[in-house]
Amino acid sequence: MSSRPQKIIVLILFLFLAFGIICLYSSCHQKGIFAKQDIFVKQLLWMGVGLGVMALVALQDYRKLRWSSIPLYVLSVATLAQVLFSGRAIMGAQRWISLGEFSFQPSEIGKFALILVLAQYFSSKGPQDLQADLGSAGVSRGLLAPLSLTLLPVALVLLQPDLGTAVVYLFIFLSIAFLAGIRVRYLAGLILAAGAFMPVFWHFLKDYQKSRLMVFLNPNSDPLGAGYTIIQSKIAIGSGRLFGKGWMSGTQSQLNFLAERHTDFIFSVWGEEWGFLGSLVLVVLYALLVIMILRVSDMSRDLYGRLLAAGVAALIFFHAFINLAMNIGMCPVVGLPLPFMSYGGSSLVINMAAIGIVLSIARQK
Amino acid sequence: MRTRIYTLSLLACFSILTAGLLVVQLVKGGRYHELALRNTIRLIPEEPYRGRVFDRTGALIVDNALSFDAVIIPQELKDRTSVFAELGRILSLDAREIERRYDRGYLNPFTPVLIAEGVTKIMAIRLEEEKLDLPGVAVELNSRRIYPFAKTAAHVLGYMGEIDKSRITRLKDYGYDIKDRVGYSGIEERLDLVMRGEKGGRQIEVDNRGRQVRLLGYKPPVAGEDVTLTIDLELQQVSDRLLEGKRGAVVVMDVDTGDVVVLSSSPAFDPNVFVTRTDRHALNYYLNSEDAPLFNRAVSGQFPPGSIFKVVTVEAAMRTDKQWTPSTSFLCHGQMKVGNRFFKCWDVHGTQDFRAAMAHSCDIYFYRMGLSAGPDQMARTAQEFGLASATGIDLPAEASGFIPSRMWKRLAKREGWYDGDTANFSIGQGFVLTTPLQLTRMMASIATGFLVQPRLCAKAGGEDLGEPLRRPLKMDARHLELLRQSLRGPVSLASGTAHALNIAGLEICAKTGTAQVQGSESHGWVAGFFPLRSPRYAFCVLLENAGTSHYAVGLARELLEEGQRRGKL
Repeated sequence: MSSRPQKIIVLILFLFLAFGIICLYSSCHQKGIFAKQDIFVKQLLWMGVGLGVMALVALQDYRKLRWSSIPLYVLSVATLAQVLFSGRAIMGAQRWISLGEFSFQPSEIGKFALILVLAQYFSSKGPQDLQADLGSAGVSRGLLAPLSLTLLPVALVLLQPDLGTAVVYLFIFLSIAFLAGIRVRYLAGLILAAGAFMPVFWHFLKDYQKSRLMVFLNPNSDPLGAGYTIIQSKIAIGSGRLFGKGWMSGTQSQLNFLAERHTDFIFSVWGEEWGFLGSLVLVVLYALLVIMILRVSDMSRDLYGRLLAAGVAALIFFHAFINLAMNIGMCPVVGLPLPFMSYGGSSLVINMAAIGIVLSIARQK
Repeated sequence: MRTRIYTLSLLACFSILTAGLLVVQLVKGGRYHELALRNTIRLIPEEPYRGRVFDRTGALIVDNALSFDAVIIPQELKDRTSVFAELGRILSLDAREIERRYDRGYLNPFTPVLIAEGVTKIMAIRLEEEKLDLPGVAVELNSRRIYPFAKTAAHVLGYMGEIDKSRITRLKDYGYDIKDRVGYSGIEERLDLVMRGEKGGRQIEVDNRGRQVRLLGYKPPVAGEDVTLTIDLELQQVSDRLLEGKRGAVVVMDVDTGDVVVLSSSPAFDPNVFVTRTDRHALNYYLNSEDAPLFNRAVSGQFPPGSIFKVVTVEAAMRTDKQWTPSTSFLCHGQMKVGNRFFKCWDVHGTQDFRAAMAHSCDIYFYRMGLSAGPDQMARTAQEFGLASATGIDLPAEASGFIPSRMWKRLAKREGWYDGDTANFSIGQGFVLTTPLQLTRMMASIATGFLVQPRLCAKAGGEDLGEPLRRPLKMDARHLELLRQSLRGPVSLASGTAHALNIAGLEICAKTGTAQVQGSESHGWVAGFFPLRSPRYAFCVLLENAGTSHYAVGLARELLEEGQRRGKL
């Protein structure tokens, strides 16, 4: 088993896709009518695209990705900036770039690009930079430069404002930096500094910006302080109890209590219909997937592949963890999708491309 | 080693998650299950009061009125047929029509479905009286948008409608939701976020008969901010009336601040129609007519500027040809040969110096100027004057116009640039496109030497929106002075094309334009500024397919005279 993590990864991936289809099919029904058929069909198409992209990436030698990391990073930063400015012009957050019928979220590509660029950066630096003493030139090479590479897109998505994605970027940075061997006390210092900077950051925001931040920390608190979505989602998941109500029988989700149940709150449908056992299977599968990806990382023959796989593990872990936690009210609603299950083309394709990289690394160990 | 630590910490997170699921689904599962069965939590939204709109003098242009709306709460509705019949009797509506509205508006068991908007007070009272016989029916008190001046300034204001799919995706993070009413076009759309306020509501727990047991949370709605526009309502009404029955646009703008005092587009629409949605005929006309009444011609309409463009040609020629002086003369025979084609003038003018050529809008003179300047310099100069880029006015869907270049023609038309193209370019024909607002701004920039960003919103929520945005034109001050003086000619000379604008006391400077349209009558233009000494306002009038600029000049005269008579200008 341990010698062939990629087989397990592929197996889990297909399980997730199957679960995703089953769950989305149910959530697209309303009072027994197939109300959102277009969404369901679209997601099937995206899965096809995702599988194609994954196969394409998996068949490449991942080391070839080195040349593409900088252009991809520049492209994602540029599109993030573009989205921001076009969004300004039409009032409100514009997170999408549309190319005819096809539209995508630059912030999703940004996740992918950041993993590539950080893995490449850290793998080209030796321990003398990574473990450098404070005040020596190595610190700027080992810590400050990659940190700036991360903070640029973080700032751009924060302005959208999209806190969830900003936190994802930071988590990717921390994960890769930690596994690359940066001194732990630097990372701890960074986290402390960020924490200390928070109130200052908050203080400098204008009132309307603060309220915007609040809106997106908990968008659905809007009509009510009590957080309607969270309560409904908890009722849905909780009412599933041990065995769940069965497929297509979740009353809470079927009756349309949750507006976003096919995207960020897809888990509320799952939890209601499949109960604790179903939820446990999902959590175990995510854990297993992340462990397998980290195993690939461990077995990689070079540092680049190692960090690349670790970045992918961080990406999938963080989304799964935060999404599930916000579905059961353990953390604020920040709008991160559940990997492979939530409706949404950009995130599905990017996640599958990331799995493709892991498969490529595993193939060449 | 580090991988191991990392893996273990991630696993720890997953364990916490599992513990959380255990609590929610098993420990508290029974209670949630009961809550789900009883469907007991209900959300009762309260709509905020939308910000009102005032004109520059403080006159109210957009207001809200309270309206009684009859709604049905699905989960309390027991016997559909009898309730629909009874409700139909009170509202004097057909029961089948009520059923149709109910089925179409149904969203979920607890969101009230709107059956009739704006019912009379008497109906509302009867509904309340017969509440017991009408389980599920309720009367809501909502505020409704009203536009007391109907079509006046319609394109500035915009209208309200139910949020569409693309807007939900874009605006979800700002608290917008399905079924919300949002602004479409105009200030209603642009300042929606400011004016809409914040929704409030009550979250209540009810018993199995639908009665409130306890209040779980309450958030009062927050009223939206009022907005003050730069528009002068009186002058706007005059302008709208003058444009009635025609297709065209009028803009009047303060040259220094960019405050837009008048912005008319015709045919116009009545925003009230979108509130009540009962006038099917008007709705159909607004949405489907070829006249495009919803289209804001002043800001989103792109037209060839015709001879108004000649000021750009002169400036470009002055930059290129240092030999040229205002007394340089050309002979107009009514036509001239450029390449192997004859280009016509609209008249035979004989010998013309600069001032005369400007006053008479002699095409031959400007063909020669354009050919000496060349297309590159003309394109550059046009851009300096703010053409081919959006002015940045606070309205949605502004068009940016178009200025051609050699490169563009090579790429788009797969054809080289000919001298004939330059000739057409120099009199604002051919490929050039501008909006009426851009031409207004260009005239203002000639008057002041600054390119200003036009604006419609002066104050939002009592807060001044600050200094106007403007940047100096990169042009020789002597050139600008010469342009200003020469623009007086068309008005002051008896033979000038805009002589009708020679209103005593206003000292108007203006240029006319006639833009040929393939297969149809030409568009008529006039644009300018006044007074010549210490300019205050710039203006532009466009009449689509009016044949000549004559009617545009006439309209401008009536508008400005009326403005002067009322002491507005």
